[in-house]
Amino acid sequence: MSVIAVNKFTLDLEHKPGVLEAYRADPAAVLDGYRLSDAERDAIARLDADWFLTAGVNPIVIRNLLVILGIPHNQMYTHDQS
Amino acid sequence: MSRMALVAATSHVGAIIKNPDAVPERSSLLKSAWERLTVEIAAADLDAVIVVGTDHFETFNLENHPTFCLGVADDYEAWGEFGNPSGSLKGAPEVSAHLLEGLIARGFDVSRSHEMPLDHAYMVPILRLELAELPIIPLYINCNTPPLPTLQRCRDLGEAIRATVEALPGDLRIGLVATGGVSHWVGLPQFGQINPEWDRDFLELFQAADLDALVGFSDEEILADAGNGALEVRTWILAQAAAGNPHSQLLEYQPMEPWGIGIGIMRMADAT
Repeated sequence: MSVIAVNKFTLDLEHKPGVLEAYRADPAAVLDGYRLSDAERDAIARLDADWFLTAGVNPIVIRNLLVILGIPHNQMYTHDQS
Repeated sequence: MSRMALVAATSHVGAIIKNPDAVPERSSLLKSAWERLTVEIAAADLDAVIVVGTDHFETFNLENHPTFCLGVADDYEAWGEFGNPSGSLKGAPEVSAHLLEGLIARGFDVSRSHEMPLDHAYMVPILRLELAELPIIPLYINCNTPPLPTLQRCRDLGEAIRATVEALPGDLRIGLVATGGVSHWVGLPQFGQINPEWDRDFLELFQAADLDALVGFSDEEILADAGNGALEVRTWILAQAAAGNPHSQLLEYQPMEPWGIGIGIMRMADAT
């Protein structure tokens, strides 16, 4: 579990100019730039807060990641992942 | 002789600024308390204010995560993350340098940062309490990435800050505002829950000047009963110690469901 890669990706999405727009245009290409496992990439694609929590990602980082990608704080664990 | 001229604590959730009028019958009481504290701060004629807070993975990430970090910069930028307050603030680098030296001499090897952008943990109280015109000294405490500093260690740091402030050259009047808590859950399935009974019991211990009881809580208890956001109360414990463990005055407490948090506002001083 490369928790640090999830953290780095989240931080870049939030603060590094152009990363959010690039991710929306071509998620796979952006994720290729991080040392993420396949399971982590899948969890990012699903915005699966339960998976991240079980994997040991800090809840605040999970909140940041999901809110940046459009999931409200109060829907992190209930949103449609399909 | 320099002195700790005013010590206080408040919650810091972004909704305080972004959605101030939620549940007007409660938020108006909070607003009144913040305004009373703002008047007290202005009357204290402070030369600088230490703002003790945490960080929400904006400034400190896993590449380098200090337990305690003191800002020593000439000025500070705010992240303005998620619609929270942005802007820049002036620092107090000479006071910061003396604090850093004094704390290390007293056994606290705090990190330092010459470039320490601030998130809402600092900016919300700074705006709400009108601190932005004062020179700011941010002090970061790791409140969310275990292992956390023990509550006792935070108490000891508060006492060391008080001793260091009293040893500052000149006749400086230093304020300290702690930020965070009380009960709330961040990024967890329990988000939105509040535990007012726990909050009131916990805050009562400040009014009872019972630091021994305050540091007797385990993080497991706090996490289970009041949420991961309540782990920020270590800033309040630091403040209580920095004030000399008075019978602190609870200016207001309200459970704010739309904000997903119990809001506390405390003046760390005996009733006058």
